[in-house]
Amino acid sequence: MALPSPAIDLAEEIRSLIQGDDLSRAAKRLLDYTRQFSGQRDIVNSAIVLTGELRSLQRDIRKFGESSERRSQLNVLAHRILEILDEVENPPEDPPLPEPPAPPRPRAVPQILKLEDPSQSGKPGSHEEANSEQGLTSFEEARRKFAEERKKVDPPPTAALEARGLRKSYRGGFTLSSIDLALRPGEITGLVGVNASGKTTLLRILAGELAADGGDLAYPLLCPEGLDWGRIRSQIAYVPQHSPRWYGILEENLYLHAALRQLTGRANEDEVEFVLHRLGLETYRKARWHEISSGFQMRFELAKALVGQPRLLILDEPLAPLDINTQQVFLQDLRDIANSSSNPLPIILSSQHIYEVEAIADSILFLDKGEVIFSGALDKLYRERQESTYELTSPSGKTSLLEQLKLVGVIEVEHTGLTYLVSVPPTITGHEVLSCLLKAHIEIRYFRDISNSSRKFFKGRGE
Amino acid sequence: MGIPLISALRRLDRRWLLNHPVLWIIRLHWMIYFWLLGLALISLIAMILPVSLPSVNFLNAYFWAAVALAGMALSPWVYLQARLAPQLRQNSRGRTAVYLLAGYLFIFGIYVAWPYTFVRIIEARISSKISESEFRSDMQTFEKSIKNNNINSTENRRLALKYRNISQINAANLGDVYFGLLNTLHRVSVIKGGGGVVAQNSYDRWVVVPQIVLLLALLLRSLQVSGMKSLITTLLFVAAFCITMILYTDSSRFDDVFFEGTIFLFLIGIYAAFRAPSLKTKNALFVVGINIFTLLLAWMPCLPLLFSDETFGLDRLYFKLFSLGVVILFAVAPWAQRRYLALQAKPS
Repeated sequence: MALPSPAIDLAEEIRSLIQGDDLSRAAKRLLDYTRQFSGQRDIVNSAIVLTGELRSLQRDIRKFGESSERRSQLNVLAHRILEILDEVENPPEDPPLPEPPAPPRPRAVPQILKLEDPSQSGKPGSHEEANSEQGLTSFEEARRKFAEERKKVDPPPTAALEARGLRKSYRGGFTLSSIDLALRPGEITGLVGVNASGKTTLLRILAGELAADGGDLAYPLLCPEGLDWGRIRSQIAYVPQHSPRWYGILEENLYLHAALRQLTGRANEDEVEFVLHRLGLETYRKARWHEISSGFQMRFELAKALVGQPRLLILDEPLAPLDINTQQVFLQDLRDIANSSSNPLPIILSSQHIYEVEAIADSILFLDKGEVIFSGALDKLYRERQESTYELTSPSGKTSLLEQLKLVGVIEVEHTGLTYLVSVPPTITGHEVLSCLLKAHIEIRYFRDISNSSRKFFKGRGE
Repeated sequence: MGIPLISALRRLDRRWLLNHPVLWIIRLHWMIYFWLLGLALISLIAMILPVSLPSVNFLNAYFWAAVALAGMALSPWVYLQARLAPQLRQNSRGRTAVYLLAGYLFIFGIYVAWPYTFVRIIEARISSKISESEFRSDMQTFEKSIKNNNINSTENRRLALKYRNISQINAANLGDVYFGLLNTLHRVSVIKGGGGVVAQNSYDRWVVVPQIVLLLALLLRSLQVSGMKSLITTLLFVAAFCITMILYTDSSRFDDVFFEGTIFLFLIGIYAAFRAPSLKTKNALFVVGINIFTLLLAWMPCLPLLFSDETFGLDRLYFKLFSLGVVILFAVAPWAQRRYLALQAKPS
């Protein structure tokens, strides 16, 4: 049985992760892989057990340091990951064939090469060339490129949610006006904006927690026949910013939630087991709500959302309680969930961690005072920019920066309290701005091109 | 030795959690299990309580004490339901609400059996204290005294003592007989039928008031309590309090014991609550104290009446003051709760 292209891609990703010694992520992706492509409970369970063992070993390493014995245990686990991959790729029920000499397996092939040109599948030599030509250093960049390429080939999938002209007014004077939005499977939409811009209101309307005053809201993928709200609601997972506390043991809450979503018996157990291991929460499964940190509470909220096997995921400020490392893992998990081959999810999340969200989002919706300031992909933002914007910190004052940057035709320098936002004509590159400042011996401690970031919309907004 | 049936119940618990979430949320299996245990316990208490003929006057109190016990047993469950049941909103099936409602009615229904079982057993035991022939004989003696206008005879006094506090006896074929000498608040009728002494449910409505206050206070604590430790302490306290009252009800001085005990506990509670801030550790005593204080707050306006001799004749005023106390309880308890939390949070 030939595996589909996404399976091959994912297997290669896992192999490259093993080669890069990133076993944690390899194990996570193995879970995704076995679940999406093996179709066998035993194999998924093997991956779950392996993930649990790996986490336990990594805890020991963190606690007691890395010894040769533990290193060899890690190697054993790495081999077991490869064995499971082989098991899925070559299921035992296949009729026995005379064993041909096995071709050397392409190891650590960067995914981008296959994705950039699907016809080049299985040609590792050309991949490396392509990789160096493109200058792609990061795996995430490769993934994004792949997603873009795939979009060019595949027709856009049916939207899980379509909103047109959504409106909502509060007595206090706030009005959310004319929101147009489409959420498609596999896409992540970042919802950003200053405080009180209407992000939570919009998310609550989309989740069905709040009625809109006007406009159209449809869920074509969740209920093609019309508006059976009960059916739609059961397919939406909404994680509010301030979740109510859970009562009882955490894993019981997950079992309960899955059962309420009609996932019963062994399927319920399997789902909860998978999600707990996939999100790295198995250690805390027997804990209670007040015994875990707010970061883990948010991760358990995500777990709860996922065990219901939703078809639309709505997250309100999920990054707020997470530390910087956990944010990265959390967002990476979201990206993986969205990209799932078997159940690609549309995800919309609001956040104030703009750069982190932008790193994984396919599109951004920027709200200000209830109005859409920008909606679309970030490259559109870059293409249509009227000016280039850079964020920097420097001990020098605004006056000296302005004085110096006149040389590159500076349009504006805004001091936001901690950083400066420098606007220059779109033809001026970041390199030129930086060179200009450094030549004048102005100390620059931080510098970032935000021309393709919604960060620049915060300029002049807020309090 | 483990708790009987516990492993079977745990297996059932797991099965229902995975397959029948509504039943699991209702905790039907655990509620039936504890109901059976409680029924056995309450029957045992009813069988060992010391009773005599005048105990028939306290069937009312027995009944409401058992209601209070059932309320206490149910309050953690109500607390749990208030927090778990909202999750069912996500379940779009209309049958869910029906199952939930049916489950709740069933649970309440079976727990109502506690007070009735309790009272029925006690009634039967009281009834067995006097034979039909002895009762008829006594009633005839008493009627004769009335006819002869000799109500203060020695024999009559002996009978009055024997049937003390029974204000009205309807002795089947003998017509209504009144123990006019006994000026008591209790208005319990006793009918002598074919099967011995049977109490009618002509309960004194004023006796219900403290029980209602107790239940309200308990409900309030259940809703406000921040931790299981505090809730359990409250429940234990109320349970101990009620059991003490039940054991004392065989005395004709039930009201005295009840109210004096209340005042005593209230004063202890006040002391514990106000002494607590200076304690180095917020120990169990403190938790008990603050709970007593909150629970008995409703009695506060009645204190002057309770200390006076005229108290028991002032039913209506007493009732009004109780109502005032309940209002104070609702107003002050949140403050007490915040104070309690602040004290808990304070490093020792």
